[in-house]
Order: sequence, then C-alpha cells, then structure tokens
Amino acid sequence: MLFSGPTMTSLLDTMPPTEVGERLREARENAKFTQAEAAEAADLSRTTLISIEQGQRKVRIDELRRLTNFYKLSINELMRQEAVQANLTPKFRKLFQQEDDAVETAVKKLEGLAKAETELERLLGVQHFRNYPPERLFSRGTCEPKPNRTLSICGSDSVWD
Amino acid sequence: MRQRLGLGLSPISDIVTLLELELGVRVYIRRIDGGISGLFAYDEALGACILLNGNHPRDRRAQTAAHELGHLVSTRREPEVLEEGVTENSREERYANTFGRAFMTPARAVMQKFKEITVGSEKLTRRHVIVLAHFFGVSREAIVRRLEELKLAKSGTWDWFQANGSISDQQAAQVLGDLSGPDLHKVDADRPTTLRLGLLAGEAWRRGILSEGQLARMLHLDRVELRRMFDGLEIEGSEADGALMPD
Repeated sequence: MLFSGPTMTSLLDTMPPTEVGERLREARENAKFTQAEAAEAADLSRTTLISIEQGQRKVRIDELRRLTNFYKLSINELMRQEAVQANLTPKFRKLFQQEDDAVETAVKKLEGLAKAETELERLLGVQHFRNYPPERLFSRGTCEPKPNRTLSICGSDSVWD
Repeated sequence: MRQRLGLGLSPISDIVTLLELELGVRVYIRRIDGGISGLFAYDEALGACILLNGNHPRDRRAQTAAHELGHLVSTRREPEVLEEGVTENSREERYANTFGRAFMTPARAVMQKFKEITVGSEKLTRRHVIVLAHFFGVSREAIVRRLEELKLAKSGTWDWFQANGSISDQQAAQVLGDLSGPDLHKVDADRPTTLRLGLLAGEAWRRGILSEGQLARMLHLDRVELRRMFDGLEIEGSEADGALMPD
C-alpha cells in the first residue's frame, strides 16, 4: 500500500460530507454513470445516493468502498487531501452548445490533466512557478499590421515587450 | 514578450517548452476529435492551461500555441476553443491571430531571411518557401501568407501555389532531407506527456507516492504508454539513476 497518511475512517470523519459528496459525484460523472446505475451497483436507493452526493447524509465506509469499486477508483484516490477541486468545464459552458460532445470531451481532458499536474505538485510539495506577462488590455485602434514598422497598435505590439 | 524572454528576432524552435518551462503555462498535447485546434483556459487555482491537438502537425500546433499565447496576454480571464477553419472576426480573435503571427514570424526577421534566402531571385520558388517555413517553424501556408501580408510576395501567391500543384510534403522532404520528417511530428504527438508533467509524474513514481495504476488514471494514459514514458528510469533505488543533489 503506497498511500501513507491518516486512516480512511478518520478522514471520513474530518472531511465535510459535502466535500465527500462532491468528490463522489465527480467520480461518478467521470466514470460516466448515472445516479441510478451507481446506486444499483452500490446497493443503495437512488434517493440515498443523491443525499450522499449532496452532503446531506454521511456515506458509510462500506458504501464508499462499493461506490469507488464501481467507479474503478481506490478510496485513497477519492479521498486524497491534495485533490484539486477546480473546474474548467463551467467556464467553457457558454462557448459550446449542450450537444457539442467534442468540445466537452476536450475540455474534460484539459481539466483532468491540469488537475493531475496540480495534484502532483501538491503531493511533491512543489510550487508551480508562473511567469506570465502582464495582462495587456486592448487599446484603441485596429489590428492591422504595418509591414514597414515592427510595432502596430495592438497584437504585435506586445510581442516586442 | 520576445524581449522579456530574450528572444530578439530568433525563430522559436520549441514554443511548447517555452510556454511550459519559461512562462509556467500548463500545456498538453493530446489527439482531439471534432475539428478543434486547441483550448485555452485560466483558473486561479490551476493557472493558465492550453491543450493542443496531437493530430495536427508540429508547425500547426506551434501556430495554435502562439495564438493561445496571445490570449494569455490580452484576454486571460476568458476561455477559448480554437476551431479548425473557423475565422472569428471578434477583436479578441484578430488580436490573438496578429500576435501569433508576429510572435512566430516577426516582420523584421522575415524580411531579413527572405532577402537572404531568395538571393535576388525574381521568383518565389517552392524551395524558398520550404526553407523559410522550416526556419520559422511554421507551415508553408503560414509563411506564404505572412509574406503576402508583409508585401514581400504578391497577394494571392498561396492560392497560386495551391492552383499549380501545391507544395507537397515530399518536396519538403527532398529539400530538407534529414532536417525534416514526419517522424519528428509523430514523435512529438505520440509522446505521452509534455515535459513538466512527465518530470512530476516521474518523481512521484520514483518516491513511491503514487502507483503505476494511479498515475495512469490521473494522466489518462494506459499502462503501456506510462511504462514507455518511464522507460529508462530506474526504480526501486537503483544507484545509477542519478547523482545526489548537493546539500
């Protein structure tokens, strides 16, 4: 067993039920199961699963085990303290139609990888070094490039900074 | 940006690594379906994140990356999906496109190289285009359109090439020989992860913090790909894997 840290039951006691529920919901969605399917697999009623996911009812350790088995996760992975809760999907929502599977799949990939990298940083105790340029908001004028000058009003301007 | 990074007028040989290791942007390359060139998003916790399409050739991915860099500069808080063949006319899109072109193919550098490479010839030949595109790390179409934009080539030059047999990969291979090759593109696209993610994953594995299975799941790879990534890395405390860090 590679994971070393607080025991599962103590984590289950200290992590707020809403957070446990949120992680379970995310895990279910990532595994692409409906609440009905997951409830059946874990031998729960759908309403019970719903209240677990919403944090209204604390999940029991045996239920947790059955759910994570079904989602093909270890309990460790689900409960990891370093797991990142950021979400990119909502940010993209207004950019794609509900039926646009391809975009949603791509966004989920990006989200998954970015979270994985962030989680690895936390596990390794490493800081993410950011060296972004200052934000350049738009100035007046057009974005036509001017061939005989290296600067134009926007766009190529910031290239030279 | 170029000044900040100490690039002057030089071509960008590896924009992905530049983004990852100089700017600290999270960049990933994966094969994506659905006509998407790339994604850009910014999140307080995660930082700036870019996804490039591994199905596209390397020079096209570089152009997408440069475009997304333009977004990082100007409209950081807004996410973007860059789709193939869709020309957006919003100000933000035009900015990012202009930025991308100027970043990969700065006007002064293009003018200089154009003069050197065409050596006074009256015609712009396929060979000229191939060499220029290779030098700047952009596609042949991109460099010709940039030449048109900078009035170094007549407007409609790319269309002319397309109508007259285009400029094929085989011709490029003939001109560039060992310097080019579909192999290069394939290697990049098939690399399981970008550099930083690979380094972090390798270290987590080496320290025994995560198992192979856990890492494979986290990185959306299968075990074979993961093992290929770790090929050559010794595990379980081999003496020869690396030298000790100074205290």
